[in-house]
Amino acid sequence: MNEKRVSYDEIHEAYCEFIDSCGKFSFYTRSIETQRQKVAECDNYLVAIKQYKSQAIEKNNEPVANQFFHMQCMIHALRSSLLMWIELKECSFENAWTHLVDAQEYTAIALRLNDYEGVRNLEARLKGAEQSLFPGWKIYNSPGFVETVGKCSVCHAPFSECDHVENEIYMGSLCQRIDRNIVRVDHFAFVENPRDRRCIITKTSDDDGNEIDYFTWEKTGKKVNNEEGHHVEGRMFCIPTLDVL
Amino acid sequence: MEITVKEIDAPQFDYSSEDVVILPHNYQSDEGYEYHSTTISFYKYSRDKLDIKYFTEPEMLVEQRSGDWFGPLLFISSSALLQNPELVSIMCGVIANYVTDFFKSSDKPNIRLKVIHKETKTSKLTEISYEGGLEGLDKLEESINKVVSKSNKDE
Repeated sequence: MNEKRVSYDEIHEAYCEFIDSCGKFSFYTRSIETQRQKVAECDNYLVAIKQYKSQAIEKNNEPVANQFFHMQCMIHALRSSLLMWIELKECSFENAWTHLVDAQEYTAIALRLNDYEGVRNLEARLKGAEQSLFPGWKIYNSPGFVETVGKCSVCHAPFSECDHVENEIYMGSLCQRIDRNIVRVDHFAFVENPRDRRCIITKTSDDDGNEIDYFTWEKTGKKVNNEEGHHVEGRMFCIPTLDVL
Repeated sequence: MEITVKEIDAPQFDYSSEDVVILPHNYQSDEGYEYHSTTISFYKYSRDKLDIKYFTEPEMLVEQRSGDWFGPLLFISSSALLQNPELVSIMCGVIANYVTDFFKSSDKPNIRLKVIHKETKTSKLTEISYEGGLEGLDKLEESINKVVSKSNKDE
């Protein structure tokens, strides 16, 4: 059987069309069903892009592997943006927030490789969504802890032993320290500018000790002890789940 | 931007080097050293550009989940500056380039960084703390140079 050979330019052209088609579904009034369909298309597209990336890696072609990584991050950003709208319409506000932050982080990673109008437009749309959907979100949790050095996500060597630098992109993947073990939690702080904006407050309380959902401002039905100050519940740490390998 | 300078008397910390040295934040302890989590990547990035080494090989890192960039604790002795008077300027340039690269495409962060200077012949340490943006790093350089020239005069 003859395998059809596809050039990089053809892949890129198809990718641009796909990206444009995702944008047409990434806003509130599109139905959940059509948005889910688009998310499924993104999943399939990601499989294809990662296969192309693997081929570039096999050929030791870092510039092309990095271009496929850029496409991978852009598709993920649009997929996360679609998921944000779906979760919002299903009133899963915490998840909607997480998908928004995922979309913003994927966009920031994509921008490390290519900076052009399309990515900046997406960045601006996500910022606009944040400001209108979650205005005045000002307090986040910021823990401090002592941890082991861990391994390099690029070469899997102990991180002290290789030459890779965190946050740099090598052969189509983002360098991170992985397999770190937290040995001691040092502190928790409320900050306005956290490393991970997924670490939000999810519950608080009113003066009468009624627990309040931080997103809906509705009483959850639970009574809390306010004697030593207002009750606050939140996400302290989120395990990174971005697909950046 | 804020720069604070304070003197620390640390007779037990009798150390000198002709390189910039990355110290653990608890360098006055005898063991259980903990380094800022930015230490290893910063070291890898800067070792080709700057004479730099670790005080000890980092095994434990302090991870601060703030959006601020907590730089490694950097040590410069007067003997290192005698060998290379440009060391402070090179070091501040490397920090600026590293932060620019690390946060490429994102908003530039607030930098929090401490530099320790030791006059070789005394046990006196001077700690220069910097908090601010990239644009203020030249003021950090000025402050370190002031501390160094004051130490030289006092000698």
